[in-house]
Amino acid sequence: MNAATAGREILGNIPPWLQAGMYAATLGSAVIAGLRVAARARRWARGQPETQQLPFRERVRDFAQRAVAQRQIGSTDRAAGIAHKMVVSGFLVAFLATVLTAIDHDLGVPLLRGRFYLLFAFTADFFGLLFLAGLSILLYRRLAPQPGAAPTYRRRADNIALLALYAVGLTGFLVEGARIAADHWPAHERVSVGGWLFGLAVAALEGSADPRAVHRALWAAHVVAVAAFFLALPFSQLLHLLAAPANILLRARPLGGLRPAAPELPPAGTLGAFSWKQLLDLDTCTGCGRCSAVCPATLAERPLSPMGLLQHLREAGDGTDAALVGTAVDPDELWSCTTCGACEEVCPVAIHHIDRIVDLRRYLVERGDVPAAAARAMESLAGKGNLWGNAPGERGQWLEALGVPPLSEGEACETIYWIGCAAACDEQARRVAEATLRLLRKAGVSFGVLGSRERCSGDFARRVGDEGLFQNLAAANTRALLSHRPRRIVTHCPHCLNTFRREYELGEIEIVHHTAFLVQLVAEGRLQPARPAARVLTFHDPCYLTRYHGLGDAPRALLAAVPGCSVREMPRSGARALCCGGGGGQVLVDIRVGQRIPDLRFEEARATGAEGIATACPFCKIMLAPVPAERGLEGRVTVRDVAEVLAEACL
Amino acid sequence: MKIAVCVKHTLDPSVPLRVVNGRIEQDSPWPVTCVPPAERAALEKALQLCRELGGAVTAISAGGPEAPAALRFALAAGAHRAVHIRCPEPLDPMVAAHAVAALLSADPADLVLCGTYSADGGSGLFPARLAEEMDWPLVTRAVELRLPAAGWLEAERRVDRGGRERVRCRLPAVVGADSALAEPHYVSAGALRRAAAAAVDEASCAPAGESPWKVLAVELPRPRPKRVAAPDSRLSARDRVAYLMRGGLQRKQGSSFLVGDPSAVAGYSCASWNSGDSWVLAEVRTVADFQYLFTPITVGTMTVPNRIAETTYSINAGRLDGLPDEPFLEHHLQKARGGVGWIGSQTWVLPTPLPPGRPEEFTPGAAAIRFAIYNHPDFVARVKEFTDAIHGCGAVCVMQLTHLQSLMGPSPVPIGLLYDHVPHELTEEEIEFMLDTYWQAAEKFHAAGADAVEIHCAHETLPQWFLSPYTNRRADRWGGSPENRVRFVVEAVRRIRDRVPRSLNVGLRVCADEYKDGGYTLEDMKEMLRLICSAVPIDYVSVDVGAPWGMPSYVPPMQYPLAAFAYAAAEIRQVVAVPVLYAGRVNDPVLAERLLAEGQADLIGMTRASIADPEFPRKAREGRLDEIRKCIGCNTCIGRVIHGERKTPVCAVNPTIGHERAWARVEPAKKRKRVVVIGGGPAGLEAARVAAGRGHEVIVLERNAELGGQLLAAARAPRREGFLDLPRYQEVQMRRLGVDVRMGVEATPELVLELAPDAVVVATGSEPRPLSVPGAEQPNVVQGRDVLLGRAEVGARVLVVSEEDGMETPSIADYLAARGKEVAIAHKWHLFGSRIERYTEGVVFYWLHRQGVRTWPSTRVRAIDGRAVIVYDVHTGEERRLEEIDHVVLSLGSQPDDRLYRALRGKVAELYVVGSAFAPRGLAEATQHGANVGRLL
Repeated sequence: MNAATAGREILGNIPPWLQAGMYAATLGSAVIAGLRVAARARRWARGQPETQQLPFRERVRDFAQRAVAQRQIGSTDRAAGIAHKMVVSGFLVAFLATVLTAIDHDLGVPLLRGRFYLLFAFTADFFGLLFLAGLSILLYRRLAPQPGAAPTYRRRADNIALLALYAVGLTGFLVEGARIAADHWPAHERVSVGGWLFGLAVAALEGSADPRAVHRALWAAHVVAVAAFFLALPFSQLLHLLAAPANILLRARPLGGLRPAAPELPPAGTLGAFSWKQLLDLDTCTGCGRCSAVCPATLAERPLSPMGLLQHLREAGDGTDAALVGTAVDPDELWSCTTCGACEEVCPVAIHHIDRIVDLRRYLVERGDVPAAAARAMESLAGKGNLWGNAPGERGQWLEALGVPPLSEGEACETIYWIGCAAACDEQARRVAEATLRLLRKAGVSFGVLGSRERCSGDFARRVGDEGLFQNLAAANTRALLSHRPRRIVTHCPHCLNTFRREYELGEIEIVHHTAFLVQLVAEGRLQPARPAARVLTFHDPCYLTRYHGLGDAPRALLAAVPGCSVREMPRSGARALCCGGGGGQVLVDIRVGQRIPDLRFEEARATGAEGIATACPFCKIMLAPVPAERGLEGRVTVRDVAEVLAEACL
Repeated sequence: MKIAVCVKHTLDPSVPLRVVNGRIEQDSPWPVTCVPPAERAALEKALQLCRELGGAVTAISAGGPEAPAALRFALAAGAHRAVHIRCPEPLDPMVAAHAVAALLSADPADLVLCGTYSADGGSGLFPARLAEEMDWPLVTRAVELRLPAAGWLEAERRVDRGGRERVRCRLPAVVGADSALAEPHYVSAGALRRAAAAAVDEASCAPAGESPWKVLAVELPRPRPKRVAAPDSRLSARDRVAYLMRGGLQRKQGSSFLVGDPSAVAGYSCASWNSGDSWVLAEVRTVADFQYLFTPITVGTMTVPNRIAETTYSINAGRLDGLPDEPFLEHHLQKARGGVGWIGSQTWVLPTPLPPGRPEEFTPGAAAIRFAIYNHPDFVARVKEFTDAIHGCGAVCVMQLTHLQSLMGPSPVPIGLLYDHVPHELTEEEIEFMLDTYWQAAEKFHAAGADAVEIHCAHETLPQWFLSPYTNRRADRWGGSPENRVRFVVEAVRRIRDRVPRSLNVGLRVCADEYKDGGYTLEDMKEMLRLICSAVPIDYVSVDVGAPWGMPSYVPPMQYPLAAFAYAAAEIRQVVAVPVLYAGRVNDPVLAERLLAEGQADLIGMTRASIADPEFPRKAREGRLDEIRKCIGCNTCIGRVIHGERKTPVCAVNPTIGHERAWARVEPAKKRKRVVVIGGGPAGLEAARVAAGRGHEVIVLERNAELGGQLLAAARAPRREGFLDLPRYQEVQMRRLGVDVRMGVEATPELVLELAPDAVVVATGSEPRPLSVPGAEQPNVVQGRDVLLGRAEVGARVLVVSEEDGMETPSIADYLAARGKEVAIAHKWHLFGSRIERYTEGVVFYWLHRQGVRTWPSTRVRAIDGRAVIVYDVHTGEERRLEEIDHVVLSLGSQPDDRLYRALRGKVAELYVVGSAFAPRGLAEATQHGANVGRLL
């Protein structure tokens, strides 16, 4: 083998008419694809302007992790992740190789010579093999679906696209093998491992045929495959090759974020009412089904599948004026979402599912088409400031009865304990606040409460879709809070926490979850969990705490601080935890189809063998607490807030 | 199709109201308003009809500047046009109808929809008056509406018992909607915001004549009852008692109770009780806003000025046998002056059909009398004097008629657990005699000016034996079914109703649940009350629970949860339409207010509370809650009388009781003296309080860090924390009167003399009496008081040596048993706890026996030998040796600690010794002794 003379003749054995055909086919199909992509891009551009955008650094980091390093895909399905990495790297290298070839041949730059050619040939072949192997895995998985795999969304074009891609790889190697065979097996071509092996196969198959003719035929097939791939690209899920990186790089909102809306304008409920980014999202979706595999509504056999929702919206047509609800989307689908964010957390291509669900809910709310329980709750919110229809004055009375007189208007207070309407009205949640109040008092924390002047933070109203109601509540609460000039707001409700942090304008005020605050008090020794509670607990992560804000460590630290208490994790925990079923208005909206989500979660907790479920969100508690009694396990499995567990150990 | 819809904004009916200065206000930090359901349904139906048939909906609202809010809501919901008729507030439905009629005449409509009743006024006049003025047909309470042919309307109306009436009438018409007419759609805040900018047409109000009606007064509604936990009537009596004693009732009431370590919630003025594993503290509120307690209530024909009642009790307030005399009058009058609105005074015993010539008979329980006091020639005049005086204070007089004897009953069966003798079975003629006594007495009381009589059907009186299937086994018309068992009570009431004018009201006092297997349960009582109330008119029902002995007791002592049986009143209140009075361990106006606000009762019997402090209603009303001397539930008042230990009334915390006239006025001191009181126990503090109140300069020296003396030890026993209410009250008084209280000061003669006192009151209390037998000096022999105070720790097996008959030994034993000790009591005599009064002994022995405490009766200690105790039977002298006793705990009563008194004799001008330092007695005696000396200074 002579490294110095290594190289090959590009487009040798290809007659000029065939070369011309190649240029016509590839460029032609590329132009068609380009036009189609441009048409899609025009559709995106017809969307509404997007007022939000994540910070640039965050987006670049996300891009590096998802688009370049391909971390996200494998996080739920390792095999798929590896196969996808193989295909992507193989595709990128093959693409680069083609570019180099074009530079060499079409621009006349002598690149592919000598040692570089050997390196080039080996690398290209190695990644080419990875590409083919990855595709084979994917193809196998597609043809023989595994039991329990994520439900995926299939269109015929997707299969054609995948076959085209496979054909590109396969014919590429066959062409190379035929070329090597036709060139009479030059020694340096042994580095082209794939080509050499395929060449042996081609040689064995062609028998007495003219090797050069076989090469030409295969070459033509390769060109056809490439053209087919180009054509399939914009019409199939392959579009995500282009859309996904763009989508990740242009990410607008954090997980679970909603689009701001002006209640003065009636929401439209059409494709045209979506922002350009939301339309781009739709084209980015490959229908991989990861979102539906983790969606609590889907798992509970409720009408919603987030992947299906996206795909149906995408297929709702190019027209931007057609109403979506009732045609592409069923209202029950929209009302089934708990806004838990599991879909967004798991989506490899950074799609926002929740904001569009809420956008469409806004449309329903505008028409007055709201489930009765939610309508009653929102009317109560508008009048009384809580979901339960309790009289507003009761909040203050309850606190006074506990010996916690509420702040008077305008009284300065550094730390405000925000009780939230769940604790003010619901018996289960009330115990969380009582435990927290006793702990704060025991630790000697100076704090104030707003009492009857506190209204619901508006999380419910906003997620059910009444943006105006949310704004009214937010304005009243902001006024009440700011009048005390606080530096810190402590709340035991992750929904209030999320709303305050992301959706209120509270300036520099620090918003702390009670678990984080209590951890600090325990660390400072102001609370001493001395009374041992020898029991095994499992911790149920509230979505709005752990998934939305990554604050799942503090409650676990508190449980660890209680002597004798051990935590056994559920299979789905942390940012991947299953929702209790209570978010996004679901605590009151009841779609009477399928199972109850808290039942599913309770089963999961029960399977750990824990004697109790600890959580850190009043809504999780409200949803999960009645389940043991329904199963005849009253007293045997307890559902309590971390604060209650801590209070028992401290007081 | 032109449809007009009349809408308005009202206060949200689901938010509770309060009456402030005769006006109704919402109990909310911001006004909560709404378009009421019926009007929303009317609006929705109008919009639906317009969608189907075409046309326009015009919303009309009449009223002041608030009225357009309803119109904006209608516009947001989809109305096409809105007209505001400017009218002055408050709006009268007649005026509103006239104004709308004027508008419709100028701008006609094909159909007018409105709510049948408005959510606030609720007169139902508006649609009727509008139809009248327009001379159009009217359909009210419409639940369905169709326009089948031009010019015709078909509707379904809600009628009696859920029935539906289909009607047809000509258009134009007025339709008053029921809230079921249409399911209103949700109106978003965004739509409301947009509607805020929409145009509303203005119209002025047509002049109308003077309204034909006038609002005279505004009163609070009867609170809707809150469901409270009640023991299940299907459970056995034993299980119901266990449920009660577990504190399940209290804990389930929830929010007003703090559960936790007492130190964590210290500083709150509250009574508390120990439910075994955790402490339950009641009412941590120190300020209260009374909405119901001082609101008058109409009971039958009488108006009770507030909800505080003194239910009937007999503690020998009068000195004459039965006839009201001056002490009697004073005793009750001071309560009426203090603000108690309902005076029940004492019970009046009715005569029994003893054969002529026989003397009265004293059977266990009560006497069967032949001559009742109402037959006394002076009776009407004397009682009239009393009722006039009470009426002069604004209170009402309720007289209780009682057949209290155990000689004769419905059936020849023992009446229950305490009395095992068999009564004479009443004949038909004897029953007639008994029934007639009720109306005869009632007639006399009516003449004497009483506002009501109460038929006593509780406390093991004859009517209760008729009601109870346990004692009533008759097969004739007086027994068997509930209908027959209530016949005696029904007949008694009917005779009064037939013969006495209606202005005399008739109530019942019932025991809601006998807590006796074979007796009636709460569910049975509800059924019986339903039967009684449907047979004869009753004006009120007064509810308590329990028996005069054992568990539970109708004079629940401090060991019971506060308001333990209020659940029964709440349940009964759901089946009777008349006011319900609840009595039983309500010692605090805040608690009373809560019971009223939660709809558990309409009147609260606070009898012992008003003995402990007859002025408490006034103090509560003036916001001086901490100055109220709370009843601690020691039952000294009733116990001392029932057990024949006293002929005059007494209260352990209020020394004035029994001397109401003599001690009513506190004479200011002639000369301001410097008084030093040594000892901050009940006697010393009361002496200091009275002396300071008279103007003396008072210094109190207390050895401990806390006031209360022996009460601090007594309160350490389970369920006895109520004792602390007294030192808490005295502490407030000391502060209020400017008494110089020096804590942690061990008084010596030198120290006292250094203060240069004009008078010294030695209230140094007592110390536990030691045991003088061989081995008593061993370290494993400790005093019970030290155990209670945590000064002595004891092992697992404990023998309590008891040489006293009151609550000391049971308290110590209970304290130890609650801490898991194995406790036995060696008592000096065959009757253990013989001085515990009968309403308390049930709960005391309940806990002792439940915790497995054993008692050796007639047993005294001869010697203690290491871990063995040699005891002997006091009757036979026979000895036995009790082995493996870890600790011997002594409960031998006390001996005075008067060393300081003896040391100071002759060295100060005035010297007194009070309370246990004089001689150890009860709390009542200590308090009275202290008060007495306070007056002498």
